[in-house]
Amino acid sequence: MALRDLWRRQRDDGPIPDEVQAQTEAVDAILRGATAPEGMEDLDDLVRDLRADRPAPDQGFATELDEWASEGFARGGRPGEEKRQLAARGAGGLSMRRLAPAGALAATVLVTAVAVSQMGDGTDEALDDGGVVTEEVPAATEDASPAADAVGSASSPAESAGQLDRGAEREGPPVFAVVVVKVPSSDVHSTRAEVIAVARRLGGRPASATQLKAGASSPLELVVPAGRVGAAVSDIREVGADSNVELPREVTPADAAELTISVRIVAK
Amino acid sequence: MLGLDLMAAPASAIPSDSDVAFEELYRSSRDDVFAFVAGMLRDQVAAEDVTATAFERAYRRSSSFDGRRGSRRAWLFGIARNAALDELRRRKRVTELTTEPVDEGIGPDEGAEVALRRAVLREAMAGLTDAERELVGLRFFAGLTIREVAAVISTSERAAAMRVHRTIEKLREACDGAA
Repeated sequence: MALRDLWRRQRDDGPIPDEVQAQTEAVDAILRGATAPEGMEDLDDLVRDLRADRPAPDQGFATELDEWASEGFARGGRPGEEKRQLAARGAGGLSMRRLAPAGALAATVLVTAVAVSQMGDGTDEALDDGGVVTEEVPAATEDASPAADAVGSASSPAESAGQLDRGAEREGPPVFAVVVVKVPSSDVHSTRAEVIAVARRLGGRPASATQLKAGASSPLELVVPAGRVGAAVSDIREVGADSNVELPREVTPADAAELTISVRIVAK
Repeated sequence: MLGLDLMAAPASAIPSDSDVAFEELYRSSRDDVFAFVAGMLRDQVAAEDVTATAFERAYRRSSSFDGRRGSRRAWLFGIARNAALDELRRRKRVTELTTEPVDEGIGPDEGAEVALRRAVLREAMAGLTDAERELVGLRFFAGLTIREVAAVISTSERAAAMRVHRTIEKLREACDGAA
């Protein structure tokens, strides 16, 4: 044992082999922006490709971190609290746990399904404003946590199942999260408008599927940049004083260019 | 300008050399620390959390920095590495989180040949061990010198150079094999 340690120490303290030294110096040069020495062109490509693929921080996070630093890393000002909470709630895996390498195409998130619900006699009632339908969400269902349950109480079981089943039947991006916003019944319509405004403010827009299904109990689909999915969920939740987020059991595909957030506005 | 006021000192106070040094360190290393940590964790949210933790720890421990033991940058990356390892250990202890691969979107400016080459490289990267990925993060994502890499992973320069060399060769072989 002692001999082995001695041997290792002597080996580690020895000179760096010429081949390794040459490669080290070449990498240093490439990292400084110089071209690789002759005969090391493939190393040049490798290093540049690695640099090109290096993960880059989200601009929003970078700004938050800068602000926190400017405050001397004060207690309570830590960036990314909302994202961490969302990630913690989706312990099975969230699409936000994806890296956004520099140069990657800007993906988009499809914010779907503002299925507006309110207490009623058990039958859906189409309203005259874009087919907004209301129904009660039983407390037991709200407590049942899994996203399937939350959506299962939406106006149409078939639609609800489709929203959560990322692979089957439903067209469009996979479901990212289900946001339930509870508001007074008199605020249902204005809240719907605010949710749309949130998506627009984040660079989003209503999706075409929303307009195609503009009938009773139809979902409202909105498209926003993927990098702002955390902000989208957070801002949508803030539209109502009482809200919660449910996360589907399935892991959002890492290569999904678009994602769906189901937002339900429930009348209290 | 960022306008850091890292010591939260009265407006009349003159920043110490340590404050100025830390501000420079923050400015020059923010994205590099994130890139290194994200490369280790392959998790955007966790990488942000660990990056924030690393800078907070470094700031609060800035008086413990000893220039005789290495550069300030290597010291910072050592803190970031420990924070990232803590996160990896926490994950293994608490739950088996699925690790989603790096988003492999192709940049709009990439030509077909470059795009293909990078796709092959990403696949090769996926075949690296955690320790090898750590080296790639330090050397190529963060741009540390071999001396700094050695300081961060607590080994000799020779050992660090050899490990980086072997990792490069492994990547090359994987890329050549896929080509």
